[in-house]
Amino acid sequence: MAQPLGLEITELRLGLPGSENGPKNEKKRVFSEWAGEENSTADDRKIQTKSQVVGWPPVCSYRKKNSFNEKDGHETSKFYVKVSMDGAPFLRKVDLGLHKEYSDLLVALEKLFGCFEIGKALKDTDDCEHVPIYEDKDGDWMLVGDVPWEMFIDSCKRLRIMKRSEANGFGLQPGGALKGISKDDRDCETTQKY
Amino acid sequence: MLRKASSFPEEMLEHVLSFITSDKDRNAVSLVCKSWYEIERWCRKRIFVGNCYAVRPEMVIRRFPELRSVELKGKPHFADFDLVPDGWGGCVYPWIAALATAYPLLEEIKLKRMVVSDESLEVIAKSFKNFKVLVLSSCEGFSTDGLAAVAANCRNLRGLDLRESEVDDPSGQWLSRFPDSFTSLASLNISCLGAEVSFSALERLVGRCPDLKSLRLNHAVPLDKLANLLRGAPQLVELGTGAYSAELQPDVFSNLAGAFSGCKELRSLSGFWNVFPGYLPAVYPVCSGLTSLNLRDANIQGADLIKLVSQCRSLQRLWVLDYIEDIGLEELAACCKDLTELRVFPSDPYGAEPNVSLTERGLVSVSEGCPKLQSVLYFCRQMTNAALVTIAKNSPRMTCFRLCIIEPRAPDYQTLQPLDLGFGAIVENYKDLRRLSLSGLLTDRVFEYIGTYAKKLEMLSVAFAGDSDMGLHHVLSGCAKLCKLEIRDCPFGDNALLANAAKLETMRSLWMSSCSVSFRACKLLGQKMPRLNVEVIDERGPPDLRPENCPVEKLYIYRTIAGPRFDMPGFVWTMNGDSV
Repeated sequence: MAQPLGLEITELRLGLPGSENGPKNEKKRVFSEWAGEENSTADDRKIQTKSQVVGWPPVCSYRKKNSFNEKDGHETSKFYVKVSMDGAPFLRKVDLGLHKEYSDLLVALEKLFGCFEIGKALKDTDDCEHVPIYEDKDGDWMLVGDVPWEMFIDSCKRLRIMKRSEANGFGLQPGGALKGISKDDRDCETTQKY
Repeated sequence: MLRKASSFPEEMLEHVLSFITSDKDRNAVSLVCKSWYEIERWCRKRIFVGNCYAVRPEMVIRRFPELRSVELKGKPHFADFDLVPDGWGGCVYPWIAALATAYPLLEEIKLKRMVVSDESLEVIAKSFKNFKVLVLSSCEGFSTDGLAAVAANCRNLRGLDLRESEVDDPSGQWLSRFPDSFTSLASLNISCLGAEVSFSALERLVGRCPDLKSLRLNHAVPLDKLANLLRGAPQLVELGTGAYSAELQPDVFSNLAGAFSGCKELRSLSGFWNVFPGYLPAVYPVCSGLTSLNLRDANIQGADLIKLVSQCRSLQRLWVLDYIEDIGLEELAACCKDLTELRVFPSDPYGAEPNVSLTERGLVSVSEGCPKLQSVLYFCRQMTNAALVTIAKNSPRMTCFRLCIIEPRAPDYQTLQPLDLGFGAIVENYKDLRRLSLSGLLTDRVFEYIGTYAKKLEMLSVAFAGDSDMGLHHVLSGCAKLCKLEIRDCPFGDNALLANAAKLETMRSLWMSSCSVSFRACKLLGQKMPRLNVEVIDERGPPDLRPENCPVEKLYIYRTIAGPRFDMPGFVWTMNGDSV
């Protein structure tokens, strides 16, 4: 049974829709403004250029990513790398192929971890609390942002957002590999639960 | 000595219960009285948890100490359409770790829409000596390393099914990890794997498993090798081919046709990527026995497609692309009188103009010709109320009806009216309807019909529909059996939600995205309903940085006895009394 929770629900009328004009039209107007389709008729809609709506039509995204029919032109390159953040209990994944440059990537990382100052690291300031680093093909840990983007996505195997306090002990130098990440640290990372 | 009246020996009740396997019946048994609750919980062997966050694994373990089979679902259904951001949750590891300790005799794990790590698979491989069946449906997060661990360690594995999952670093070598002494495989589905598997390992595996009944290959298994596999497994009941094309060579063709002819038990076919039509006749020998045909990925068109389908006179289930067109569906209706399930998928879902001649008429033909029709999924570009009314009257056995008109808010193309009346007829006539997906131009009226007539409806999917909160109110107050409701891009807001808050505890979950529910209402709901998790998903940043009456991007509400979860990513907030 419905419980009103002490709210006024006088707007709810159980008559047929369209039988009263006032509040209903208001709601209609609000919706169409919000949907950006003020006063559009069916014809107008056909003429408008089709912008793709996320997830519509509801075709399984698995099919889009994994279509094996040769005729499908979709090229989705997947550069999924694991991302860990010091202090966060779970590993995440990010698709590097979705981003065009470092600032894009860092914004995505910020959203993923709810930590909105990772991007500061790009600006070379010393006062950001977290430093994004990545492991390259040779197993060395490098500072994110030093090499050109294409080179980065080519060689990045995984990402880590490290606390600055930890990083300081590692002789952080732009452009150089981070010395001093011990084997113990590497083992620690592989035991993080996913 | 007095004997207790109505004392019914426990062993006898247990024996009776061993014949009761449906979850609903088992749940009903457990509610009869305390002693039945106790007896039932000790002998329950299978459990289905529709939302992995509704309960904690420890709670399941405490109540059911003797489980042999666990089935879990994670992400909401709209995750299939990219509406749930990556990292939302659904990690299975905590469950696996708990199950490993509690149930050394566990035999089956079935997961859907969950994030499964290689580590989870390793734990499964090493913890359950008698492990038999692993199903990973629309899962992600694991690589072939995890599969290798399963292959190497699960000596009694009967089923490995990876349907629709995303597998990282897909190399083929893991198949070789099944030891030569391993012969128990009955079912293998690797259709989702992107890369080649070791064919010789596959061939040897198939050849030494006499119980193998179901084999679904991936596209990388070439057609000219298929015959070898089939000859090694003539007992197959279900086959998913690999890529179905090769240069047309008479000996390859006759070899393949011969191999198919040898598979007398074959009832289900799928696969057919990249079809070269010249090879299709090789399957004709098995067509008359087929009950299930899945051409979802097959680029077969026109006469080739119709010829194939019309030979499958025993067909009960057909999944096909809209290349079948109205004319093909007419033929289907004439030939396949036992059809119970039809799914027609769009070959070009994002194209602005139709690329095939598939309209409402195709579905009308099938409803007229196939009286046993129960389940429909139909993508098309035009519909009328009249057609829907006809379809509604023709198919009394319908239990699942999902119509997707590709253009959002498309009206009846003949009358330009909303499709309220058509869908109204659907819910009024389909007395056993359990699942419904709406599309097209729809006002609040259609929801009034749904609330009035759809008394057995369990799952409803709504997009770009309705005018006001009344729409949502009709559904929540009228649909007595509603279990899952998913809504996107509808003008539903705070009032209907808050007025029907108690209803939400009787449902598994409610998803609302791009609607008009305010942050304030979410907080209120979270505070008032402690047995609901009210999750706000918003990639714009923390909702309390915006005005309270601002609508949230996405909202996922589900009942739970586990309390708020703690594995949320940075863009999900739970509305609880204390955390708000």
